[in-house]
Amino acid sequence: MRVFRLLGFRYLRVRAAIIVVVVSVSMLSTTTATILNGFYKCYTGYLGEAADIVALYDSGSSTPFTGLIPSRLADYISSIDGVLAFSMEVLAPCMIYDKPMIARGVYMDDFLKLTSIDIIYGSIPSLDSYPYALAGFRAASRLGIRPGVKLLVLGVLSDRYCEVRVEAVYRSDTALDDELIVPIDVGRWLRGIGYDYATLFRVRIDGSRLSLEGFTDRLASMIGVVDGSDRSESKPPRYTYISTSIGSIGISTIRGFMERYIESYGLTWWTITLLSLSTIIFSSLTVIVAFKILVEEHRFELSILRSLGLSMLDVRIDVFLKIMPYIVLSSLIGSILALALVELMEYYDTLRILSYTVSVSFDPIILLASIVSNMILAMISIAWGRMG
Amino acid sequence: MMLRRGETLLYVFSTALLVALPVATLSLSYPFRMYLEDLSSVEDTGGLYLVLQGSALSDSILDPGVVEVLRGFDHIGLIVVEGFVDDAILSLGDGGYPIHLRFVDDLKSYSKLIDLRVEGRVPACSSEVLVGVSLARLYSIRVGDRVGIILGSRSIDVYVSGLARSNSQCDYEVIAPMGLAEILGFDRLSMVEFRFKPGVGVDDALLELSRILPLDVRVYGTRRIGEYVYGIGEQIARFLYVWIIPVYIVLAVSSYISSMSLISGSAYELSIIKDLGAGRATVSLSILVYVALTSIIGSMLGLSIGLAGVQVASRIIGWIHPSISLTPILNVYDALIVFILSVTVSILGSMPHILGWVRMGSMGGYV
Repeated sequence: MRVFRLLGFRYLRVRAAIIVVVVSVSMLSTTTATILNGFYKCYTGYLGEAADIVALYDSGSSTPFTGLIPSRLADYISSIDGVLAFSMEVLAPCMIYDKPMIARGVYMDDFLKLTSIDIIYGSIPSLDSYPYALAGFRAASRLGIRPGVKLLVLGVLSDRYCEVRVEAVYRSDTALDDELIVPIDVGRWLRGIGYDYATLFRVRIDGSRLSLEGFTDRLASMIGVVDGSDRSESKPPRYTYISTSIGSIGISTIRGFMERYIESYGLTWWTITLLSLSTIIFSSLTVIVAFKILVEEHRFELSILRSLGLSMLDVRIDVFLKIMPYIVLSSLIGSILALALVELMEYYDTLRILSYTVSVSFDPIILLASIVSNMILAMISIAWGRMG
Repeated sequence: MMLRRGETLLYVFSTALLVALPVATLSLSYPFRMYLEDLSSVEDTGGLYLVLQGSALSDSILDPGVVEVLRGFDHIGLIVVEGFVDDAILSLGDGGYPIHLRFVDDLKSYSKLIDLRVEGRVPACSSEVLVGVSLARLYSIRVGDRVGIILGSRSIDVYVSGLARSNSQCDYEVIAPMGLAEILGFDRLSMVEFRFKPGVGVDDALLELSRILPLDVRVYGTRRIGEYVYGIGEQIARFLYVWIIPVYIVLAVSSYISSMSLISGSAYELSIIKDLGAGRATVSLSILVYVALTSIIGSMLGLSIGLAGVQVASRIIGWIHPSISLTPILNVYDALIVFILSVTVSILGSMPHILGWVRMGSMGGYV
């Protein structure tokens, strides 16, 4: 391979400006892709990632917080063979210290069977009835609270309020870290619903004994028998979507539950990938111009190589091989800067969307995509440039 | 054309593509942001309001003068004055249990205020109380029972005249007439709860209240959907504006590199201009004007590309997923901000190279 023998011939001077272009473009594409990826993962993993947990929800609601299903489902669920544990939950938008938050009403014992949380400060209270609260560490940091603090929580969808005492601060490394966990009744007051409703159920099923379809069939047959028998337990207040029709209860994996909501707003995995790619496409011309300048600046050296008998292809391959390490290094630096920027955004609380912090993590595929895209763009500009 | 057409087109298009990025994002998010803004401007009239002089119900000590001010405020309809204790003890046959105790000055008004439903009857005297349904269920208390209430060193046996249900915190409390507070030695007011009269403009009324109430008195509102949605919208706007920073960093770098390409690619033309007698200031000003014009054209083109691109993309997504309906709209204010920012950043980004060229050019470099 004649072209590799040219590698020792050092004629290429890469301007700092060209490296800065690649660094900044990589930073932009990595920042966008990392945030969008984090956003998608954060919301689809909102209720956890476990494959053996299914969610029961109101399929007629447009957000995960506004649907309602009857609490009486708890009796049916508990009687199904193959159900290992379940948690009835109420999600309530609320205001605390003038900040929008989400309070999750749960039966603590049931909730802990399905969710793993690490207590950072304080301890888990023993009684469900007492108006206590457990604060996710991000929520606690945003509100500036620690165990022992009394919080006045104001309902947004209801004209109710509640004073709760913060008993613990926890960490779960999920979207729960932005929430306040309260007893289920407190959640109901803040959501403005009666004691016979909940927002959703999470159910852990034993996969060896019961499939999702089997669970759905069993539940449907049980509910079908008693549908409409006890609808008038309490009069629901305003701003409440009441799901009395059994047909409107959705059952899916917990991941599918959230995917359904965010996809209804156009945020599919494909649109997120497309949005990430668009930053690369839209900044591509800048990278092409940068490498075109590099080639233009070396037209004299390249013409000497041509006159020494090297073909156009050999010269192009040689230029490409010589700039490859710069591309890799610049893309790497750009990605590191992007991660630093994202960390900074997280630190300054600007990565919060719909009350949840988008937790971002380094994804090697994004870095690889950044390097590969920059290489392709360099190839295009080298192929386009005049080689002497 | 002063500089070369090819380089100029590259400059225009590289600027346009980068400007298209924030345009696409802002136009995609605009309908959602507008939806949130519409929601946040909805004025709520049916909410319950709380007035505290302290950060929590149990810590609040309300000046009686504040109560007088509130009672005299025209826009307030139902109003109830309360005392609140979170360390009272409910004494039953088998022991004592910590409870929340709420003293209310007018139980009938309070029932209306929070839609309290009473099984039994509302207390008729200071030795009668209502017990919240959840608390009653927890300790098996029934209407007609006698229970003991201990507050500090004082205690009293009271008659349970009814069980109260309101789907609120009261369901876990004992609600007593204010007269019982005096018996138990509780001599302060904790809070006032009220509702505005129907048809009152809540925002204006709250503003007026904030002017007449002492600074350390706060009015907390429930069902303030507008405030909540405003907070959510603020999060999204803050995120978008921070995300735009790296876009403009790339735009500045792109302008620098494009001006480099523009000037080095047009070295011949520039040398001719100099040879024809143009001074350093004239040439640099001409380049600056040229760069500014191309930035303006690039930014305008970027606005069109961004908007058209996102429209096409949303149509394609709509065809693939009919359930997804995206309606990108570019708001005039957003367009203006993006345009001004883009032109400014482009010019600033190209300035270092133009100045460098002027310096080098005067020494015979480049040209």
